[in-house]
Amino acid sequence: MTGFEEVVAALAEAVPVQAGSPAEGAEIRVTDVRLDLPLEARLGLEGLWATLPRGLFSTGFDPALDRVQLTFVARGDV
Amino acid sequence: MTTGRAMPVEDFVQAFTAQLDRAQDLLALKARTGRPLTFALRDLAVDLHVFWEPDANGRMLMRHAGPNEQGASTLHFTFTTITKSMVEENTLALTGDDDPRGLDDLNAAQHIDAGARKKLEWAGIRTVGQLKRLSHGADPKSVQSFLGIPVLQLETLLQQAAQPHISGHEVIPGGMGVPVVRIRGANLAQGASAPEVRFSGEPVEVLEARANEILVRPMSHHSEGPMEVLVGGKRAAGFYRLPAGPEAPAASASKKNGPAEGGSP
Repeated sequence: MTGFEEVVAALAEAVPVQAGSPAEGAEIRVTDVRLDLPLEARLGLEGLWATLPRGLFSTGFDPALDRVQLTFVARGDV
Repeated sequence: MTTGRAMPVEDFVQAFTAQLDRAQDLLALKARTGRPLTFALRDLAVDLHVFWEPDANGRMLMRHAGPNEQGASTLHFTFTTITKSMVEENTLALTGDDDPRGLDDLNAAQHIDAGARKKLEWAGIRTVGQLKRLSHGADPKSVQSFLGIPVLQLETLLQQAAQPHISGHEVIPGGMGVPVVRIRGANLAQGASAPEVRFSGEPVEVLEARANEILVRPMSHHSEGPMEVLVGGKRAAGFYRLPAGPEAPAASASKKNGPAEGGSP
């Protein structure tokens, strides 16, 4: 598990903010993104330790998954 | 997987908010690396499965649900970004409190039972100034009805809160090299009548008087000793100490009272 801030940064990194270019004939820019994800989390004095669920198969001994919804907005000089 | 320790919600929210600040910083760093377009986090909601446990003081702590623990509560937090000005609008101005003493500074607070203290805390009353504002113009019985704090305990608190109190003093430069002493405290002035201030038993000139501070000009032979403020038939006492030497010190070198030099009614 990592600090929740690193999870947020990794998720932001995983979403493309733009694709294509004028040279290619079209450019797409993402203005905002909403993610709704399951989350494995643990409370600590430092806040939330978290990771995205790692597998598809439940072992039967897993903790109930938490959930996180994030909205990212594009910021920049374009 | 360990479930972690139980913790108060407010501790979690504070720690989590700090994490979100760090997340924003991480995202902002990407913009500085030359990327023309990056993401910023605008809203975030998180659902946590927790169990509630009271601690020895009756405070509710939340503990994250462990593997195969059934019946957990779902705690839904929603966070959104706010601007600095919004923070300032919704934050208690520490300098705006006309009586910033903590309630524990009142001797009567020691006789308040734990339940009443908790109710005051829940009502957001941490300073004497907040207590006064709550009770201003209100019948203590009405306050009892709303907060459930016994009238007698509230009246005792309010009576002591209304006493003049000296919390400290400092020397500031006055005109023509004559030092001026600023006495800080609470209830040091009442209405239009000026308080009487004595240094070592001698009245000194009162230049300015407000509820939370008085400016006085000591006489040349005053160096240290007891000081008194008399206002509305009530008295607050403390000790003063002025630096030796013909020149008034700079305000930055001013002396503030410690407990030994503080005052009390």
